[in-house]
Amino acid sequence: MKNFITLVSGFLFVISIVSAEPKVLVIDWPVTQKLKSSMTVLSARSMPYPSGLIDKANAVHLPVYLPSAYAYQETLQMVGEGDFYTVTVPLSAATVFITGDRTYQQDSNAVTSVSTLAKELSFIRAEGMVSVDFNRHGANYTLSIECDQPDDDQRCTQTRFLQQVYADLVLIGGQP
Amino acid sequence: MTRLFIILGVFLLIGSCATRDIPEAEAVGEIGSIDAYLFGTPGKLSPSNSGMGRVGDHYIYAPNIRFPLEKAPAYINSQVYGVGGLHGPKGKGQCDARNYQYPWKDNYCETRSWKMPLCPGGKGHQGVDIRPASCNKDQHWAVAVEEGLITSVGRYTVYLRGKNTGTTYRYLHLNAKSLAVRIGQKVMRGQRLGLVSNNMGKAKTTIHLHFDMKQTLRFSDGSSAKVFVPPYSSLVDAYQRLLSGRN
Ligand SMILES: [Zn+2]
Repeated sequence: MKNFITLVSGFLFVISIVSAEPKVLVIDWPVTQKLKSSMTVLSARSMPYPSGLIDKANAVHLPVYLPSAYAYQETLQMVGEGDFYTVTVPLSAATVFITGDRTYQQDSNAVTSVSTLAKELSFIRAEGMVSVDFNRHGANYTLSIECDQPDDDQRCTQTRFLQQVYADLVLIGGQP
Repeated sequence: MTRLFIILGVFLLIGSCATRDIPEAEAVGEIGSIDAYLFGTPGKLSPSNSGMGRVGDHYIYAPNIRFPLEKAPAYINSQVYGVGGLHGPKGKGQCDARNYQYPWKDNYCETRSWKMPLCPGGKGHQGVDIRPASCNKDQHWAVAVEEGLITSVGRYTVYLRGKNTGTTYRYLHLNAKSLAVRIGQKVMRGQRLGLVSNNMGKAKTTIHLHFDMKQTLRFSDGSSAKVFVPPYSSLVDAYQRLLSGRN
């Protein structure tokens, strides 16, 4: 009998490894809701958000952050639903992106030797782009900028511009 | 006793339902033995002064993806340390025949100045560089490795988020005018995205596809982080299927 149970649990274990569905992280909603109400007040402006943006943001099940300076730009494009979103903002000779995602693909025990750097906030310049990965409320975000002139445009040769965009992110939506 | 068997039976039934959608040939775990004529070892960078890869990591982070170029042959090797590269032998430049030869050479984690949590030195190349069949730009199609959504298009980058896995794949240096997709478009596995080129805005690069994969790792304390994971073993697996017509 014991052997039979071992066999069955082994079988179930194999099944759990084989199923490849994206797995979902837990979001800290109470903190998010509190933040949202305070930040909405801070970001209150006379201009409305681009049409449909808030509806799209509220169809996403994680907190939706946008660069406040561009949140009202009609040319921004938001895609996403459920567990992720990406906002693309075309600027003059550059593009800013922010993406948020609450899925995870690997348990770290499957991936050996991950540096603790993974959890440190750092602005990096790679492949001509400046970017930063960060975690808020349990979800993971990437903010980045890509330039027409990666070697000459200061927005892509230095991290200062993106640091400013990062400091001014505003929470506009997302629902449990 | 009978009750126990019924409970176990129900469990097995649930288990078998959960696996129903998984294709039989799906690769899970590590890459098996590979043809040394075609492929260098995952994590072994070449030349040896080009940096330190993830030696011993043969895990397939993106099982069952399609190869990102529509057609074989394609050659994974260094753009920086290869012939004609910044730190490579001069030869006949980037089109030197030695760049268009097997075996592939992994270049994930190749020496770079930026942070990379999965690289042995904490720094390195975020993905791998792939040369298409010939040294001609704007001729060879890059295709979607997985069914998914084009989440963004930048100045020289296309972002694809895989529907079934949540992995973000980046395709760099496609000819911007050749792009066959736009932001928000759903694409099928194998669908054409754009032509491999040397587009890096007004900066210079060689004719190649830079391909990388970003995934979220969850740690044992429940925290998580998004990182670029090694694509090489997944690409070897995908290429083997491309060559044998099992796409
Ligand atoms: Zn590259």
